[in-house]
Amino acid sequence: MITIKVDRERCQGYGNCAIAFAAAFDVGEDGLVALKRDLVGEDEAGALRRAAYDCPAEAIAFARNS
Amino acid sequence: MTQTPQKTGLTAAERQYPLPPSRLDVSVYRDPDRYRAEIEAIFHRSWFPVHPSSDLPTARDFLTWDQLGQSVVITRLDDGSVAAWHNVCQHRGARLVDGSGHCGRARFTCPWHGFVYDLEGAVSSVPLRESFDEDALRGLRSPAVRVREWGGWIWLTLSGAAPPLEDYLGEIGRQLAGYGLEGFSTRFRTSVRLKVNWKIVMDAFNETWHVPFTHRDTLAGMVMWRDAVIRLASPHSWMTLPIRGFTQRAAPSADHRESHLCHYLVFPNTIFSCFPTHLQMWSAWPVSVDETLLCAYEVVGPPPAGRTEEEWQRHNERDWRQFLDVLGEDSEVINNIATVAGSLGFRHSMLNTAESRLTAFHREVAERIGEEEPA
Repeated sequence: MITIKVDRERCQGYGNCAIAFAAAFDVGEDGLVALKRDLVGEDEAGALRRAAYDCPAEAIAFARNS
Repeated sequence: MTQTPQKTGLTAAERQYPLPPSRLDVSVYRDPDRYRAEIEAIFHRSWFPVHPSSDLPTARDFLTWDQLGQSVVITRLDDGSVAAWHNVCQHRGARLVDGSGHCGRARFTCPWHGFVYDLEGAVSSVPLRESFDEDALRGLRSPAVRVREWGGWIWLTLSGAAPPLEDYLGEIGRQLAGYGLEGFSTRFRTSVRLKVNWKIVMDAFNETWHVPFTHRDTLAGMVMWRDAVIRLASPHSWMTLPIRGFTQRAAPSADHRESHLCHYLVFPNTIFSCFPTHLQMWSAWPVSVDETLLCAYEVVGPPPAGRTEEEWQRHNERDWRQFLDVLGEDSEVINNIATVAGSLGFRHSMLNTAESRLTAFHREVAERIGEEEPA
């Protein structure tokens, strides 16, 4: 499994993550990133990488659980 | 146990952008004197693709090109070559030809006093000939414009001193030559008037990091905008962009033209945005210091292996609609810039390393109009 970490201090609410990976990311009522879940499977790694890549604020990080 | 999360940080491509950050005085976009200098020093001395070759399919076809305050007649001669000449009567400066079409009699007659021109712009008949100074009529012609057919396009330059086209294109010409563009055909075209300086339009297309903002729902899903590899090839520039879900599947040894979106600036005003099997090309024509006409084309190659002609056509149509969506997004941003183009609150553009192609472009413009550095 992979753990998602979001940095809400960095987040500017662009919402690109929610487009790239709607199953895990959303934009909350405060306009900032809201995680629907913070654990994703290997089969979703591509979507997660895309969400991190497309975040202009570099607010998304992730780590594999060993 | 979870490993320490890694920030993505700058990509390898982002760390290798070729030029440092730079600054640009806003007068480069607003100064009418500078605009006139650019027209003379740059647009009167560069090569441009002005029409697809296929717009002149048969001998004695003609068309006119009206940009930069100039009008040029382009004709297909009986030997299959093309000729170009200024669309102005040598008698008293009337416009000779409008629009495009087929001229079966191979003669163009001035609507004002009946001077007659052949397909190459030479005066072949003058009414009341004896009433003119015979010496003035000898060898009279509308001045020729240098023209070439290359890569499926008709190119012209208003300058007698510009280098030959292939020398002018340099590396960009060698890149484009690899696509076999002679076998491509123009399927779609459009034009849009933008209420800003031509360089604002060019700037808008020569960096990728507006993609996640301006094109969040369109282009961002198609290209890996943070992996643009930029090359400067003065006065031109280009970049290669991985295409999502396509580039990764290409063989590592594949030529970048077969695996990436390759985006070429032909200085000063034309972009060839080339996918492996088709391309979009657009030119930004200055209309005034604060108005630009953008003319865009979709040019497609033969159907790739495994696709029928009908499938390929549907794909092309879909692709063109996507391009129009992207262009519409860019146009909206650009025309919004127009609403603040005279703002007292903006004195300098600041360009980052991702905007290296813009820095190089503005240096080139400045150099050509005789400024040492951009203001």
